[in-house]
Amino acid sequence: MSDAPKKMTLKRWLKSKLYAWQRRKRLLDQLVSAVTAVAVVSGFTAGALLISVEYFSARDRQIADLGVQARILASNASAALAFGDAAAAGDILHALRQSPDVIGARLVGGDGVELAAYLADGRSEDAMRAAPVTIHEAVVEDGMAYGTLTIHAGRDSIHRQLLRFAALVMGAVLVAVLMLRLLFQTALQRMAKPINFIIATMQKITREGDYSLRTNIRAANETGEVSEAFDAMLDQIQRRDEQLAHELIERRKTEARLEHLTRHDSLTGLPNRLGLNEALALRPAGERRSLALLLLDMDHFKAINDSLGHDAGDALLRNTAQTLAALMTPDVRLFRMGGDEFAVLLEGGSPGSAEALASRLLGAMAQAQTVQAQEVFVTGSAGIALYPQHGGDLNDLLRKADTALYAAKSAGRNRAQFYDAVMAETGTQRRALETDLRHAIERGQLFLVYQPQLDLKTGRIAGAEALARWKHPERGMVSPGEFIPLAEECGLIGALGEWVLRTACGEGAALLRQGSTMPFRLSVNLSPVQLADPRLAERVGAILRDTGFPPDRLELEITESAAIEDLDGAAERMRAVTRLGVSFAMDDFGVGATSLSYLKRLPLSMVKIDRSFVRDLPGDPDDAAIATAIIRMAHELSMPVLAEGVETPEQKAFLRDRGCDLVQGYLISRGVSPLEAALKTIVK
Amino acid sequence: MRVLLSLLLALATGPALAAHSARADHEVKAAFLYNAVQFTEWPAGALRGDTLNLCIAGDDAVARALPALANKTAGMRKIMVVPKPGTDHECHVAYLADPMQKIQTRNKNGLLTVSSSAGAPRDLGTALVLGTQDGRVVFAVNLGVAQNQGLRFSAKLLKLAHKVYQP
Repeated sequence: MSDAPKKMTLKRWLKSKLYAWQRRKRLLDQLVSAVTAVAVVSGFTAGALLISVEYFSARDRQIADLGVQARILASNASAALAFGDAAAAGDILHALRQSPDVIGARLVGGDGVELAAYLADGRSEDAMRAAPVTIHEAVVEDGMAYGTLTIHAGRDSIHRQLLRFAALVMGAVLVAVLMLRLLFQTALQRMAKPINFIIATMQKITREGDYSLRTNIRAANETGEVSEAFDAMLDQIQRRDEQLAHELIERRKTEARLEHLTRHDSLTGLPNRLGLNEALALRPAGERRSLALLLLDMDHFKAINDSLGHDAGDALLRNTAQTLAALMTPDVRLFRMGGDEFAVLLEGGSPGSAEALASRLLGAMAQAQTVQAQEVFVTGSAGIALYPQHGGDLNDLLRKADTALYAAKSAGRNRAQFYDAVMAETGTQRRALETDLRHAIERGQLFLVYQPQLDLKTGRIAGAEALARWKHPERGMVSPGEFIPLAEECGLIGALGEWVLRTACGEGAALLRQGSTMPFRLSVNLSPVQLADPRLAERVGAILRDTGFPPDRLELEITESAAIEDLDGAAERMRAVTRLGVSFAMDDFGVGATSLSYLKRLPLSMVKIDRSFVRDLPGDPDDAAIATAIIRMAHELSMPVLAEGVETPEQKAFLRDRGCDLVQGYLISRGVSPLEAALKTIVK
Repeated sequence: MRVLLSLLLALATGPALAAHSARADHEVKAAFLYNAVQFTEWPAGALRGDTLNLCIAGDDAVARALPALANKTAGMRKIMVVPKPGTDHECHVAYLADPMQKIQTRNKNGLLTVSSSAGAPRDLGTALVLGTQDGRVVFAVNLGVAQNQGLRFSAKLLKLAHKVYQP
């Protein structure tokens, strides 16, 4: 009982040793060992079987041989027995000396008397008695029994033979096993070679990560199939790997692009508002170094954009960005804030250096630029806010700089303006004004004045332009130059335009109803928003119907920029309106980069020369040339021309000389109320 | 060893010798005749009946011992003793007490003639001559006589013969 656990432990120990050995050995060696073991067991079993079979058959053979020998001897001995011839019998038995296994023999007569005996040399009677093989043969001749022959034999020769045989067989088995092992090993190695190659390839791939490797064993057996499957797998992995790498690269590119895009402006490549944020955020906390933030924008950019198209506007922005970027230094950095607005950050600048920088930048901007083969002249305005005087953070500074910029624009553009507290007050007032404007129409604070238009051919007032005025309950009269842009910015311009048209038509119709016989035409400005309205004709028609004002007395004034935005659509909508009997005039002509070609495409009845060309007449030769050219070209298109902003008799005389049809301006009259007063203006 | 061996040999052969000495020579000779018949081949057709006829001509000690062989078997046949044979007798074996005596039998051949000499066997004109030598019964064979009668002796018999007279 006490042995059992010990035995188990030993067994387990052997088992574990065997498994460990199996795990350590390569499969090939394990197979070879297994086959060798099988060969050894089967070989030696077969050998042992063969030897034992041989042993028994040798014994049988010996007995058979001895039997034959006994029969021959018995036959020979019959006569000797018959005649009792002991000598002859002894001679006959002596023949057994040729058989080495025979120990001895006896010839006994029928009467039980021994006639002769034989004992092999060196053998004893005892050995004979103890002999393992004994053969009895009756001596018979012709049916007569004469006695018995007994032969005693040993098996020494059999044993010797068997030993030799066993040695031979076992040797052969050993050689066969060794050869089998060798052959098997060679065959296995040949079979394992491609598998080892595949393993080596796999290891190399794992080590180097090179998925372009292939095993390429093209055999028509399992190895070939494994190789093929493995290669196919590698194809997939490689494809996926490449795809993954490609995707990774693409993703990084995209991320980098996005990263760049979020911080940069795509049009100009400049850092954007976020870039500006970061530039300021990167400043060490508690940095007290002074800073100047300049906001720049292009004057009349919207007009240029509208008249030349967005592509031209973009080209202009890119040009400007390049021009400005050329002036940057490590301490001066440029950002694009959106639209036509740029920001410039000046580190450690004094108010003086900021102003100098602003004037350098505006000077560079004011150079003539060539955009789409056309020479364009732009100017810029700048607002400057200082850190820490004007604000403690970026938003604060931006707001202040924006206020300063607005002030610069208000002050006539093409200039730089520092922020000051008064501006802030103005800004606040402007916001209040915006709110007030929203209520102005419904509260009846708006009213119209009419500026008469003089026909230079007849010398009579031919009509008047309706102009909106706002009488603020607290601030008094608000200039149209202030509230019209405000209405445009806060989206009230459509409503304002509609109110002006309806009111003008209403007042005109009222005048006619009073029995006025004056042949007047009423000019009303049409805002870009109204012109862009697809239901323009419908709305105008409704107003005419509601007020009863005759359409042929109404002239709507459009601006170049409003028309050029969508030339075909605008022409279409304008034609719809002209079918009502209403005519159109081109207002502020010459301000934009005007091409006369589109004049032909719009249903226009009149061209109004912008006041900026009239102001310096007749002294300025350029303006004189432009005004003259406009008049000539309009006449070639059979359109009458009206000049705005005529303030002096010289201007009036010049324009009449150049064939201008109508004039409007302070020389004739300011805008007056009511309409009848304007129409009855006495011409000096 | 040698002494022991010879002693053993003597022990082994002793009873045979004793048997010989126990019987008279003429009895042994009669037994020899019987044994010789066993190792003799008769010509085809010579032995027609189911008996082997042993004819006895003349009278001596051997002739008197021979009738004892009657009814013994020789191969498939029984031995029939024919005393004083005549021409109407068929003889297969004839013992001639006087070797010079001629007997007339019905059969012309196939007759084994046997005679006996007092001492060592001599050529007495019979196919088989029985004699004694050194106190032992021996025999001689005359092949010429046997061949004349169409008889053949077994080689085993010839091997044991004291003398073989060639024709």
